[in-house]
Amino acid sequence: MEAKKKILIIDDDQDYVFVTKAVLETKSYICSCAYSAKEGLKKIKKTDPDLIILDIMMESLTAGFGLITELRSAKEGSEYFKYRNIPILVVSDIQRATGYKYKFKEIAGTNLLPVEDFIQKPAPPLELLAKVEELMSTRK
Amino acid sequence: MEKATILVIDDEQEMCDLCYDVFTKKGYRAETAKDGDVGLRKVKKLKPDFVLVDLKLPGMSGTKVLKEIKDFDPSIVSVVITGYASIESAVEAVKLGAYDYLPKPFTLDQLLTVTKRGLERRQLILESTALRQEKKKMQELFISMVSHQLRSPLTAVQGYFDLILGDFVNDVAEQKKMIKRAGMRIKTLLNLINDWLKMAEVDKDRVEKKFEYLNLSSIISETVDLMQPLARNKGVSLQFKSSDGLSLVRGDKEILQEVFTNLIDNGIKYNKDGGTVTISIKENSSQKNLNIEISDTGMGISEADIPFIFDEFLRVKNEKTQQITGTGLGLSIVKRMVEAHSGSIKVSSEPGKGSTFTVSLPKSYKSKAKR
Repeated sequence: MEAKKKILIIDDDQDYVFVTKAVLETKSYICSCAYSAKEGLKKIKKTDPDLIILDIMMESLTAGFGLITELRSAKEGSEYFKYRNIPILVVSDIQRATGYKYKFKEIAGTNLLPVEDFIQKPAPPLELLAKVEELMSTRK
Repeated sequence: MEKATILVIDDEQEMCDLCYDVFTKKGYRAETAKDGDVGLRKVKKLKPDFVLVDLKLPGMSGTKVLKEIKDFDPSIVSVVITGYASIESAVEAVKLGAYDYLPKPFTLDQLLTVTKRGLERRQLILESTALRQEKKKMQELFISMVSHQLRSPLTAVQGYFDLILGDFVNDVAEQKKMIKRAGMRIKTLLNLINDWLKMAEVDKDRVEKKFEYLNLSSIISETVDLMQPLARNKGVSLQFKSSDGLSLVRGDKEILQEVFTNLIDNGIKYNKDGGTVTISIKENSSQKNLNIEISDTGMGISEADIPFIFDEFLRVKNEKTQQITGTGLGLSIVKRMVEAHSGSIKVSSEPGKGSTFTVSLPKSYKSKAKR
């Protein structure tokens, strides 16, 4: 039997994390949670997830971006090197919060935003699930 | 300003050479042009800080060059060099936007003085533009944070609705828990909206209209009485130390009550069981202000947090404050309200021991009617 896939949810809103976890668990994903980018980085090392669902606006307006950079640019010898390519799905309100000035959805997947995809919060559960399934199936 | 760029547009070779030497020796980057066309091309390419333009030029007139420079970039400072009998054209040039004029023949000193002043003006323009852009960026940041703060509760509520309506959770007891949680988030949102509106309303001009002479001692005494039940509930005792014969202050009674209610409430919330909140009014005859101190024996504020304690978006988050609810706007509203009274507020604290907030308000004297 295939090992259950692990997902790490990083978001500073406890209720949103609860809801996301409940949705993902209906499809038997094993979910762990972190409530800040700082905590998130620690949990990545601890759980080695198959997918990270990441919010952007947490302890600072751009905390999520900091985490992405820390992971993706990790060089050999860095404590995050092993985890640098874990798929990241950004689920955030930042596009709307910044008045749609920056098209995050468009740059997702490019060097400017090296993540697998970007979903605008609030994401309907079915849409989130579909996206997660898609990302899980394309990995290795 | 890092190495300023000066452009001299003059058809006289001697003039160009002189200026080039003088400015280069002074450490500026100097460029010259013999006519308006070349001059304008150089303006567009170099974007100089300061331009000296001879009014009498072959081809394009100095006045036209001036106008073109202004159209291209109004932040470039220009000074016109006027030749014979040209005071009228000089005045005309200033009207067209030149900063000053320099009549020939001029001394080296005069040249350098006019240049120095011109560059100072340029510096001022650049700084105020930078400030305006910084202010705009900060406003945008502010709006982003506020909109995020207001939308998050609704996103969470929507999430719970999606779970229940989408049949992701069917246990009724679980569903009830979620609806309760959603209700709490909605309450927070309402409090946030109320607080933001309060912030918007506390405007010095608006507030001053309702000012009257107030006795702080009785206002605070009333406030302390109102807060006793809450304090007792939390096992905290309130102590008010006042003196008689204090000077009056001019203010809005309701707003000042809000200030002290807020500060005493914090003193209670962040306190320990069995702790105290002490309020005292101090008046020093040699000073222009009354000082109101609100001290608590609570958890205190860390040195790292103190500079930001009156900021709109700070809520100190650590294990000890986990259970304390609030919108985070309380202290920023208090600060605004105090400042609308021409007062000030400061805080000193020792983590683990407690904090003291000091509100200073200007004394006021009822003056006898002038005859």
